Amino acid sequence: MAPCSDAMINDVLTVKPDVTIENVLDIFEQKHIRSVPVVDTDGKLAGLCGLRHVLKKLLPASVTMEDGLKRLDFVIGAAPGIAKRLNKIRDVKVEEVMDKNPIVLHPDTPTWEALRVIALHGSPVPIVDEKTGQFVGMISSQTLLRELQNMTKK
Amino acid sequence: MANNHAENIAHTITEKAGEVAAHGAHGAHNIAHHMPEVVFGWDGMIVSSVILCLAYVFIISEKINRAVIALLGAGAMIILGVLNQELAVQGIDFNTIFLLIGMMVIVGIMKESGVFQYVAILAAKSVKGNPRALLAVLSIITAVFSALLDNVTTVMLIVPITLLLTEQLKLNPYIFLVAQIFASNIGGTATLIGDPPNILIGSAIGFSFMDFIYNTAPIAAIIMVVMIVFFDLVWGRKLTTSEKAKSHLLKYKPEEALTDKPLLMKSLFVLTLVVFGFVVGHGHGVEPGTTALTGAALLMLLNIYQFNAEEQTHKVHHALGQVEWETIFFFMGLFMLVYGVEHTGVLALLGEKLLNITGGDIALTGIIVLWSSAVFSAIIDNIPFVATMIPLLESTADSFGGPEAIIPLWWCLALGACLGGNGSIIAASANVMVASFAERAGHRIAFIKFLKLAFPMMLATIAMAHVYVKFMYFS
Repeated sequence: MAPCSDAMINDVLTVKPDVTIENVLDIFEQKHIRSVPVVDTDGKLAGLCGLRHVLKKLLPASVTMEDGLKRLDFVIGAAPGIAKRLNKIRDVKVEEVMDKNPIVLHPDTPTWEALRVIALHGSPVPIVDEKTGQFVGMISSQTLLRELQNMTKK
Repeated sequence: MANNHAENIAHTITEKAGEVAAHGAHGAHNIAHHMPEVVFGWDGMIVSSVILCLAYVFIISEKINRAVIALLGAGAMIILGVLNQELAVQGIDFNTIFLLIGMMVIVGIMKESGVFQYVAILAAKSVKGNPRALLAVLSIITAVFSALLDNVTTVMLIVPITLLLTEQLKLNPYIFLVAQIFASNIGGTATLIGDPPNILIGSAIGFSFMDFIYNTAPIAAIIMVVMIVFFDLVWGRKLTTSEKAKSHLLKYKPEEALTDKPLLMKSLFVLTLVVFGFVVGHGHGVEPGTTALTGAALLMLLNIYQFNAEEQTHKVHHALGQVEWETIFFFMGLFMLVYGVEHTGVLALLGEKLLNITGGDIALTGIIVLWSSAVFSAIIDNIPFVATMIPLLESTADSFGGPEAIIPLWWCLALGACLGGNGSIIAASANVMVASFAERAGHRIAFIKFLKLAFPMMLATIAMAHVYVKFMYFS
């Protein structure tokens, strides 16, 4: 089976760890994307920041921490507070909200493994060089499906 | 009444001692022809002491998990010939193990009902979000739950909701968390099942649930009241919040936190039965371990009977998964380790030394036990300390005139070890748990900062306990 570099997008928009959440939210809005790889100055993958990570930052720490509160349905009347929290986190740096240990694939990972990871853990997945940790590109559910369709045509 | 009660205890203890003696003789007969021999003809006392000391060093350094160290130490006791496996297993107090496992299963099932959040939110609403009153009620809730459940579970449930409530009220949670550490250790002091040292002592000596209610609970209640007043005067009265923040909190609906009412009713029913079993079982030869483990099985039955075989297996698997096996194996390893030094006579020797120091004065011995166990428990995990002290003190019984004469020493040990758990952030597992939650929420409880406040406060509680034991047992 073909390696997943065949289904990879090389030309990906990345951000540096010190950009603010406000900037990232603008990028999501303008580029119609839901997540962006965070790459440091050496070209190494520092993390992955998605809309979900930004939303998670809006929750109280007592909910998002390990062994935290399982539900919040008893909290009624706190909505104005949440809106204010969004304003507060605008200047927070992306490195504080991003997933620092995202699942990654390597350029020579077989497409089947990429399919397994995306089907079970979601899309997109960053691709990094196994030895150097350099960010190489992204693979998403769309690019993977397209590649699979191409293969059936061949 | 008090006299009568003391006689009761004395009676039970003599009975128990008789049983142990009979059992011991029987056991000795069984294994007489293959007693262990220490390898290379080394001295058993030295080998067992070295193993125990090494284990202590590693446990204190916290570089390697405590359960792993205890199991390795126990293995070394057997492999080096201090004990054989039969003897090592005899050293394990299965009453304690069953009690711990049973309560862990019951609490593990009960917490899924959301009852802890319910109580905390209800309390916060009942004081109308007043921060000063909130500090007091959350401490009281922590103390009461800690008395009936284990401290670690209590703080695991109360701390996240405390963080949410303080965040809503725009308060720094630091002092709330510190108060809860104190409350959990003081509450745990009150009952047989509240704190591991009490479980160990109660199980080894045969104290009943009510013995602890009569002996440790009164002073625990007094210390708790003093502590709440102190926290209120120093911090509570200065806490303020906005009306707006309070109004948000007043809109909370505690009943929404109760996710499973039938489960709550079942758990409360079983918990009540179990406590009832602790109280009446003692007089009928039913030990707490049996009560707790049977209660756990009953609650699992109530929770699964309506499901098919596969779902039942899944649910039971989940319920048993709530048991903190790390703690259980730590206890088992520790029991075997301590039995090694007990078996070789090291602890009896140390007991003699203690008697030499105190000149056989029971009051002085009691006070020394109280203060030293408090200081030791503040520095090291109080579980290994108490596990070692029990056989050591037991060995002094004859010199003082029998098991009933040293009853006050057990209360001194229980009070010192439990209250000593307040002395530092690493002194009790519950403290460590609160600290790790605080860190996750971005409000780190620093070691030294906590020590500066907690150690003197701990000493003050021991001073109160000192007056109490002096008045109760040594006057």
